[in-house]
Amino acid sequence: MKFLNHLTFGQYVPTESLIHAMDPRAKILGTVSLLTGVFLVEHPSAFLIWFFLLMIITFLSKLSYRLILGSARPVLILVIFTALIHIFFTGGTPLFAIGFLKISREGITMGVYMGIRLLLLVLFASLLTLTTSPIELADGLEALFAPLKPLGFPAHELAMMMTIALRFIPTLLDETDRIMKAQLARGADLDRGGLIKRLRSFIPVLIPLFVIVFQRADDLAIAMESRCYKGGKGRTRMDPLEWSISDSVAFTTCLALVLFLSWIDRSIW
Amino acid sequence: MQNRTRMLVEGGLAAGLAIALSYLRIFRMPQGGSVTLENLPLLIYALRWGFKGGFGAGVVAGLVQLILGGYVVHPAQALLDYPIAFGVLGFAGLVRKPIWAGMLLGTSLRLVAHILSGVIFFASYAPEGTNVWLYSTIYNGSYMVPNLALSLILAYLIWPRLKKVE
Repeated sequence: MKFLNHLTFGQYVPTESLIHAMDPRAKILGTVSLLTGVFLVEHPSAFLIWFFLLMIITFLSKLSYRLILGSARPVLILVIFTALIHIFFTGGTPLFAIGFLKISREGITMGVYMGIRLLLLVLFASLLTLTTSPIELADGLEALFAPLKPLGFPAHELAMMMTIALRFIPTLLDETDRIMKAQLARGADLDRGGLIKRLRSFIPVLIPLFVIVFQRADDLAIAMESRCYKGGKGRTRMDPLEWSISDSVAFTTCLALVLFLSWIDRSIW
Repeated sequence: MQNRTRMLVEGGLAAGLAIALSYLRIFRMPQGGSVTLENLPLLIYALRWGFKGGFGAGVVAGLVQLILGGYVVHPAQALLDYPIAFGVLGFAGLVRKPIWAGMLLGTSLRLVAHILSGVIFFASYAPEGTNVWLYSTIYNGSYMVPNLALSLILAYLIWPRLKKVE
């Protein structure tokens, strides 16, 4: 089937490394502080340090540099586009002009600054998803939002839904694929024609899919309650999250780096 | 069976189906956005369980999409394009009859979330003087309006069959 083949699902790359072994809570908090740090950069040259930092974390996570840099591919066009807009449309003293397009020194500085900032934000964010499995992330988010539970925030419910969603996405994709093949075997023509024709041929795929999903919810809910699922209260875990000293060290380091770098940025340059 | 567990499980599955359907591009627009059916499971879920559940399932779908390879270029953009954009689909649960009204409400609010996110993105990344509202509305509307039309047609085909299942 050409619809769902070669689908890379999620970005997580399982390896044994310092970064992979960290508590997901520490990684989420660390990433948020690093992203804030990138956001606070004022001078383009400071990005060099941030780039160096990215390389160090990549090295510690035992992932290939190619993989990390490749994760920015989907936004590359956006990065280039943003940089070009700035290069051509920022005012200032023009260096040279091609027709009505004027390129100024300020424009080039601004273009490079915006492009690199965008790129670094995407790269630091993908470090998190490359080194943390989606389920770990869901658990981490649940734990981080748990203090809001007394205020009525449904941290457990959201995390449980997230876990179910993550668990069933591959199953649902398989299911979709199977129904599509069944309809193709009956002579359906799914990948030709304009929007209306395609849409019409998808109806016999979608209706069984939706019916199956809402039926399966019933089975799964019964299975969970047979195992005494009663919501989040008093529920124990097979692998409880453990915040170790190294997590504290890593998170504090991130925070300190962000503060230090933005201080340098503002006072020295 | 407790209604609560059922609601939770169905929400998880609806979010999962939304993500699965987002991989199934029915039609790719020339300028980037694509027509998919990701809104449909969440809209139907909101119509079945109301606003609160629908909002929760939407937030979950947004977070999962973010985890599985979304991109972050601005803190407000991350919230608006993922958890909020999908969460507001839950507003469909406020107007459950006729179903098209709820779906229209939910999808329109999602469009608003994306437009705002686009405006914030351009406000911090584009030079001053660009008409960001117009651009963002045209870009996001170009795929969200066909998405709505598609969801509406399919919802009217699927809704009666789901009623039969119960």
